[in-house]
Amino acid sequence: MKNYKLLITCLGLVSLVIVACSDTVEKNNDEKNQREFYINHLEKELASNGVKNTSYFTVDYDNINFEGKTHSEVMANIDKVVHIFKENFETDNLYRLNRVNLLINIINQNKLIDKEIFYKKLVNAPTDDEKIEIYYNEQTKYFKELGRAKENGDYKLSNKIANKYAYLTILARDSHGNLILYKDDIPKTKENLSYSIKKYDVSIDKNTKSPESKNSTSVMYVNGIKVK
Amino acid sequence: MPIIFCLFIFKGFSQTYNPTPYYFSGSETLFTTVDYHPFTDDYSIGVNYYVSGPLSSIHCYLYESGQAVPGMAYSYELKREIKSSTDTPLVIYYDDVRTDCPNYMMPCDIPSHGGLKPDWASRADYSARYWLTVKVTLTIYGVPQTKYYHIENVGVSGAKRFYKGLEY
Repeated sequence: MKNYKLLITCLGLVSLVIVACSDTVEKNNDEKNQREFYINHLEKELASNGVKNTSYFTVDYDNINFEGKTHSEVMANIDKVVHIFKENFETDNLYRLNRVNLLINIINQNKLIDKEIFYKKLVNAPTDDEKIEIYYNEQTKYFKELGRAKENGDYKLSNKIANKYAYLTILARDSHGNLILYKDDIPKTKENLSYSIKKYDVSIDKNTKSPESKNSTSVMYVNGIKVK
Repeated sequence: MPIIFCLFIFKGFSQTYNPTPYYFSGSETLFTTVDYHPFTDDYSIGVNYYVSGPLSSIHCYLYESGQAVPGMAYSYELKREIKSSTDTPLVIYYDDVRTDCPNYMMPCDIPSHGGLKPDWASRADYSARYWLTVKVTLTIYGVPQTKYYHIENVGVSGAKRFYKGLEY
């Protein structure tokens, strides 16, 4: 008899656990479905606003966190996110397009299109977005190789890689013909500059020399002997 | 003709190049978010450099500065760094107005009174350039979004001239 009671108690406990578990599973399924719904909604909204994942601009859908928010809060937040990301995407694309167009202009002005397969691919890409993507992916290849050379501490290889990809490198010169280093590609900072591509620049040797001989000061001098 | 001119200079000026030490330092921004984002955010990556001579050397270190707005995170990977510095001796001619014979009634006994005297000066050429991949993550209302930039050949370069440790 005692055993019988014990058995019933055990069965009761087991069924309780089962019920509890199935509740959790159901709840988890609900949450999962809900989450999928939100993500799909966000994805659709972003797409209809022209924001899409590229190799340089990605919305990380796997790590979205909507926890602790009510349905209406989440929906309102998605609206705000779409608005901000759209602005962010457009500003970013404009920045990238400026750079790509600068390169394309140099290629066209100097009739370099047949010199590189990459130039052909870039110039003939049908849309601006594709041009940006092609250029970014080429840069990524270049920077990956540079990164590997750096890991190995191989400076010679690093220089070799930089020469190999010199068809990507834009050079800027001031009105005196001196090479200048520029920080970004926002056109407003680049007034009166002329551009060329490193690989196809004929005057590179002449102009990388020190501007010393062009300067004059109140003190007279002549160039001395190089020590190093 | 130029060869004769040079010979003449170095014949009359045979002192060894032994300049007074000089140094200078500065910093330069390599990457800033101001131009990249519609909302205010003053994060930047920069380089501090320190150049000293004679027989020039350059030391650099990269730094991050500014405050990223909440939800923004930045990181960068250094892909290439080129630093160079050279020290070049220069012959300068300075106006040698003698202080011990200031009176025009009593001219100095050296023939080229108030003439030009040669001396060594130095020119320091310096350059520090960087290749960076910058990762920018914005997490807003729980949604993360990442952007990458390849920043090529940014940094600083220039030349300064020194005489007796002072820039001129």
